[in-house]
Amino acid sequence: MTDSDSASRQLRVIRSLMERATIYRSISAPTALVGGLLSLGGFATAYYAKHHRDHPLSPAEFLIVWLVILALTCFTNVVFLSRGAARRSEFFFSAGMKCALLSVTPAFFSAAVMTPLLMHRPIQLALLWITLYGIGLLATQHFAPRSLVILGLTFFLTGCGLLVTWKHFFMPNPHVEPSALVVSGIMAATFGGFHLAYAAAVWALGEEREEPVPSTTGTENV
Amino acid sequence: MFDFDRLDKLIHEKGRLAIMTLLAARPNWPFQDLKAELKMSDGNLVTHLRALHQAGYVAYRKEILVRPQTRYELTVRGRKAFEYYLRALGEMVRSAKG
Repeated sequence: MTDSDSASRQLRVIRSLMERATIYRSISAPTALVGGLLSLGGFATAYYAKHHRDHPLSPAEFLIVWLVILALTCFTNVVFLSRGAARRSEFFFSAGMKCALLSVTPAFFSAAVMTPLLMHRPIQLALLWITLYGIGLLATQHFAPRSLVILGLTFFLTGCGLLVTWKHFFMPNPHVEPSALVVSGIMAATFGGFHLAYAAAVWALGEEREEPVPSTTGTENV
Repeated sequence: MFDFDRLDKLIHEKGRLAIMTLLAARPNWPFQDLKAELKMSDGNLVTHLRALHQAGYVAYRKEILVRPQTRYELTVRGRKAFEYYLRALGEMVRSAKG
């Protein structure tokens, strides 16, 4: 083998190792915090409509409220991800970002397609969103940090569990759909509660810490 | 003609190159994760990390979260050395092709 072949092989090994080791966090902790709080706001809106307005949220209003929350959260995520990319001197559409987008697209596209079909059935819509969101996050598991994989798994298992059991929990009368307030409560507990827990875990574990570590002089354990 | 002296001999060793590559890919690595990823023994990994640390390429810090652990990361000097090494390898390939 020539030196050039050896160098090429060395470069391929380096590339493959780096690709395997690169971690991309597609949801930053600040975004999760904002999204979680907005989700609680969505529940507060449903609560206000039911108790302080003459009628509760209609299915169309429910959809609008949660689409607005989604839009605001996505905007927040773009802001924080672009700041993070700038801090690391990377392009916003980095290789990690492209991989993440490609991974989540099938699940998120399915959710987008199913939403108009189920817009008059908020409970089914919510459970579909929860499950597909979990599947989308799990699709990034090969390069996502552990906390994000756990978040995806939690959404996925909760969505699947509720898809099987929701009639027992939320529909004592089989002919009556759960109210927008109940469905908003499920959304707030999952998209709100889970994201707030994720943000807290990321900060508590220091997973987003990226500041340079000061060089140490000892050699203990080195 | 490529000057082979431009290749950093410390980084060029297979095990240390793998360590430098992983450290270049993430802000920092816990010792146990490095060990699992590289499938190296404790002693082997510690020896390589010590050599890289003594060259000023790798820094570490000890912390206690759930349990005590040591995290490693590239120093500025280590990152520059790694980038220089990659450039040198690239030039070696290019010079052979053309």
